[in-house]
Amino acid sequence: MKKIIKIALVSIILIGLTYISQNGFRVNEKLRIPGLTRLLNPADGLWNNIDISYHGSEKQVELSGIDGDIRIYYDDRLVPHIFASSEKDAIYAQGYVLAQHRLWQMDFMTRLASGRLSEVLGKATIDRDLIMRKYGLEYSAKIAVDKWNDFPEGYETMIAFKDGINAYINSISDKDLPLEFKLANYKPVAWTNLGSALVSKYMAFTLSRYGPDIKNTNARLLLGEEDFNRLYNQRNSKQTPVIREDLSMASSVMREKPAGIDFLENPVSGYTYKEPIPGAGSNNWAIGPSKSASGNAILANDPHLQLSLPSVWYEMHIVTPTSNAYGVTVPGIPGIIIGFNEDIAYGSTNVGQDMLDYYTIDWVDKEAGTYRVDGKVLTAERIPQTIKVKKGPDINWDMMLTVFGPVILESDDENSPDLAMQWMAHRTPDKPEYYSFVQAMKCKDYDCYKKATSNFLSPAQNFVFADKQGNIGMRVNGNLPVKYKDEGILLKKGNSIKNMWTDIVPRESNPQTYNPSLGFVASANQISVDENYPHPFNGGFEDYRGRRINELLEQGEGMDVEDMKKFQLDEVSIKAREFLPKFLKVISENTSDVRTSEIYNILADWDYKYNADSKAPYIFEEIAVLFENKVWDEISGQEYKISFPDFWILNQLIEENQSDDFFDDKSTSEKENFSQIAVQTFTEVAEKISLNDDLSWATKKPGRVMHLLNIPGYSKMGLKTGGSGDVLKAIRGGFGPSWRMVVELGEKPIAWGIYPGGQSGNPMSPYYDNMVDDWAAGKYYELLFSNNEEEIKNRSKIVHKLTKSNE
Amino acid sequence: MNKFLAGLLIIVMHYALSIFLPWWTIVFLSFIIVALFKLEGKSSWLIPSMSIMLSWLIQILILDQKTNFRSSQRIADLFDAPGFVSYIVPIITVGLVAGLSGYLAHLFFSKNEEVGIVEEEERMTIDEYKDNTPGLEDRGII
Repeated sequence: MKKIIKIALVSIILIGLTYISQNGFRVNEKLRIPGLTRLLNPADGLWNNIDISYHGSEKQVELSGIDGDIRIYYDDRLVPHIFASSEKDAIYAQGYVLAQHRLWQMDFMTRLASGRLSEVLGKATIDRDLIMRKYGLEYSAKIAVDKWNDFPEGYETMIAFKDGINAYINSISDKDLPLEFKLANYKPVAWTNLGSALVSKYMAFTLSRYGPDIKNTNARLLLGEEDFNRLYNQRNSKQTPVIREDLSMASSVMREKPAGIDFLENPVSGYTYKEPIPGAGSNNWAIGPSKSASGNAILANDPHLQLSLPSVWYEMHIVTPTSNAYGVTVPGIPGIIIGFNEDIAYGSTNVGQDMLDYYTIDWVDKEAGTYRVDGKVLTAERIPQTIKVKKGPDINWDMMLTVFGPVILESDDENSPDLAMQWMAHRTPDKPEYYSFVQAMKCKDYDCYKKATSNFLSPAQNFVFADKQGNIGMRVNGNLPVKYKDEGILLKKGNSIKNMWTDIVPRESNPQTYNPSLGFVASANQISVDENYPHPFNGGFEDYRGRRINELLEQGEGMDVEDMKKFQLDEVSIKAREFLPKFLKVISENTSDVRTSEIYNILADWDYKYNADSKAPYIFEEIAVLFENKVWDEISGQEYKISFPDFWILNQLIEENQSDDFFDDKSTSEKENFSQIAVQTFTEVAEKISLNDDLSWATKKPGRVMHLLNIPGYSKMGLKTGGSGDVLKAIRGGFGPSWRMVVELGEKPIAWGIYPGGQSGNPMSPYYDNMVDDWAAGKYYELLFSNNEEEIKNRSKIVHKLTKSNE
Repeated sequence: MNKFLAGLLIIVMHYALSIFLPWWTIVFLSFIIVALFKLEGKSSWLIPSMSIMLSWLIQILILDQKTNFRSSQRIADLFDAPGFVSYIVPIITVGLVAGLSGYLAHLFFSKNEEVGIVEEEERMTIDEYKDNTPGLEDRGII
């Protein structure tokens, strides 16, 4: 009996220990400890992710899907230089290389976009999956992929890309799987075209989801039409649009405001939604011969995105008999998205035009999916969705597709309507968007580049261009909806399909400029056009960076590459430069002892630069936030969502009327003005801040680059970067310049670039985050560019040969 | 010699099996080897445990030294822990699993009711037994 008990006891302990060592255990809803012995065993655990293949090696792989031999040379930063005998082979190799270094990232991005993370990560990601399902990215990506079949030329490219990725996937065993697959204990599936479409749609999700319609509607109802228009719906007269030339022209497609259109009568609330990422934006510009010291055109671009490890970008050089292109792409998308070749350089920034409108749904019977439009009862199409959850029950949910688009927001408040959305990113382009980036690699002039990008639909981008003849151009590219003035600022009633925009601005009418007399083109997410352009623009536009780059380029003469780098790293804040002198003036006039205040002196002596070591940016930001809260006391504290007006509006109020009603503190019986609120703000901030603390900007607001799963040990935090979202060096916490590139197009292009990451997605690799510190320090690498294979070979550390298999 | 062979067999076979099969095949391997070699007492858990721990330690050391021991720290970074944790955790757990499995085999196949408590009996040949046991003839046994 004693023996049986012993056997039972030992068996239980053995099975339990083995199970936990293999599968791990859940600590709580959010945290699960993985099976540590599975993860750390020497046979196929993380020890096999040791990156030793990049210390000088030559490898040959036989593959069946290529037409000829491909040579891949990796330089000292692990940038691949692909030499192939055809475009098809080059794109195949691109897929192979991307999978080799970023396989898990690609898998993660497609799961994120399609709402399938919970399938491998469990309960913790259910909410995120549900949001992505509601946005219907997978639904629209599938439609896009179906249409790719109608475009054989581009389809062949995509098949080669997919085959390249799968050739790598098929070549590895479990022990070679990227670390994160082992961590979450799952395996990659074969790559499909849908994966590339999802990555493309996710770019649109990140960049073209501006839609404060709910908050605007509440603001208008709270403040009335006049004040709403004054605070939320006017152009900044100091702003310089992206296209500065006169764009008054007749348009063949115009839209009048439908008769009898009306808006909501009551504020709305009860919605749960993910706000678009603040800080997503970019800078780009190009200078022509008249502004350049060498007489060559110079192009600069730095897209500002959420910074992550692995990085959003992958750097590569692709050489074929018809092209020689260098730049970056997003893993999962073929071609070069931002880059250059021997003749041209190109890049992009985001267009802030509002591409997403919400429509209230007048349900007749929500359960049955019936709703009322134009006096008729329509039935929403139900598209069943199943969210598979690892170690949990499936979640079944129906996407409701109305005539406007999917129902995206359901309110917990019975007095607020459910909302459907109409979103440009749901539309399908005639040619795949990725094809623009494959074609652009081969272009030698602006006409070719315009043609290559003419089918790019979403997210709309300001495509900047320069060539070696000294030509420069900028084009607001992508589908722009034809709207009536102010359309889409507020929630629309879904009582009529007339409320929907349907037409697209003809591409030849998209705002653009080529060789402007100014000698430069520049964009930094500011509004694209002035009021003369026939199609109204409204949306989320940046207020300060565009002005700053225009100021620098206007003043600059005989500029060179080093100037372009300085501009990308410029930390001057127009926001502070405009506001602070007025603020400090009233402080000094109204407070007798303020001139002896150290805090006052720090601000008064400030050069308005968001320098890492400076204390002034932190003090200024404290003042700005508190001042905003005091001025907008009428707006804050509402039961429903509502946001403050843009900061430049405050500046305008100060300039126009320092006794404006909004400066009044509503909690007192007296009427306050600007100076009184300013003094209150300064006093409170001065009392709150201790100068004995380390107030340097980099300490208070350090930069960070997080691993995609937010694993601290695989992230870079506490970066002493400097910069701010409002300055050209637009680093704000975990957001910022995700790739900095400067290209001078002479007889032979000379280019510099850097991104905050590393080429390898493997945290165990020395190339995982090797560029982050240099990026934070504002350094650049000269990019190794040549069509001379021998030269590239001599400067490379590793050679991979993909040879055609005879099988 | 038996013990040495058993340990060696565990190391070699587990290394070979782990190329195709998961690490936890050590449970079965340890059980079978202990049963086959009839390891008893402390040896039943100590031999499989020590051999697999030694095997993993060597394998991990070989892998880690390839990156000048940077890899152990990078693995430990995952858990915000010092580098030696990357060694200790897997080696101790696999040792425990192998040891428990061996001991279980011993429990299953041992004829002694007081398994695990008695010391391993001294083994001797029949001649040694005769020499060491006086009075056998007197009892008419031989």
